[in-house]
Amino acid sequence: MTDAQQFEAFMRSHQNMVFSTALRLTANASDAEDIAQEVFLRAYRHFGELRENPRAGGWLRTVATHLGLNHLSRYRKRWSFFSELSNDEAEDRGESPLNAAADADPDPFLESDRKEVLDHALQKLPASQRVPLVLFHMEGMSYEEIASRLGVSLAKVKTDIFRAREALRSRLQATLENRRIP
Amino acid sequence: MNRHFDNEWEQELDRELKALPDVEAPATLIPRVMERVRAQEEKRRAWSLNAGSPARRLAVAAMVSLFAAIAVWVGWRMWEGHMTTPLFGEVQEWFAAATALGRAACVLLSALVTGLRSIHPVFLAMYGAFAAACYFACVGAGALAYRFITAQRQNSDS
Repeated sequence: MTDAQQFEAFMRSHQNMVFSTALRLTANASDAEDIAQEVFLRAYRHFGELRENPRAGGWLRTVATHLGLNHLSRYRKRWSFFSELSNDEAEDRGESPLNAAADADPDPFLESDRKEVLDHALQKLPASQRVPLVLFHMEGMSYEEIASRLGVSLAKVKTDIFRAREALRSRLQATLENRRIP
Repeated sequence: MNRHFDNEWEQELDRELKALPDVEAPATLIPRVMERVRAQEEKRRAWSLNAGSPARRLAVAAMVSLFAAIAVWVGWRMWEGHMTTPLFGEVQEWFAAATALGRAACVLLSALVTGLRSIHPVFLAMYGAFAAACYFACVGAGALAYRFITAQRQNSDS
């Protein structure tokens, strides 16, 4: 087997994990594919070390997270502006931002299972809530690390994660209730 | 890592998020990456001086030796003054289409040869050594800068 074939096999076994990591941070399939491509190009440069390394998956995941965060910070001003604006508008209309995810797109998951609902609800969260939530629960970072990496206060991280959890709970409850309705 | 959760929902959500299955990567991802990898490999091979078969290395060595031998022979003949006229005649023929340019080149070449012949051989050798030292210092500094930048880039990647 040539190096290229070995690398292709290596990619095949890790591509879903790398793509998912990027997708859950960016909530954009096209951006996630670009990030995954960059992750694998970097992996190719270190393929000699990664080839037989049992921790290659962890390395790929860490690089995907860093590149995902770099990508988000590049567009940070834009997304934080829009997410804050949409929250303000919702509050102006008397809606709680906690219920925003539950209210949007009310009934697309009657046939799907809880994991799909959760994954979809996660993608629907505003970036300001989704990113710290993913970093905390899925990447195992502490509140302090997230605050430092995102350049925001510790209090904001805790508030955003709390809001994200509540939004996901509302969304899951709404979906389960919809399932019960014949 | 053991984490403290304030309530049951946080703990349940943590478990559920960690258990989420991976999303299937698009079918275009591997072809895209492999295309870039092949392009990088081609580029690397094109610029690599160390790589190649023994036959290729032998051919390069033969070419360099031949070039060096011709340069030394022509230089020596010019230094002795044997070849100046015939060589300049040939140069003039090459530049026949642009006579003025040819003449100017011949004048410059003659001036260079006259200048070189007027310099004492010891000083000439010293100038030559100095020029070679400058050249190799530049090449060495360039190689060091390249290695430094590459190492920094690799560190930032990992």
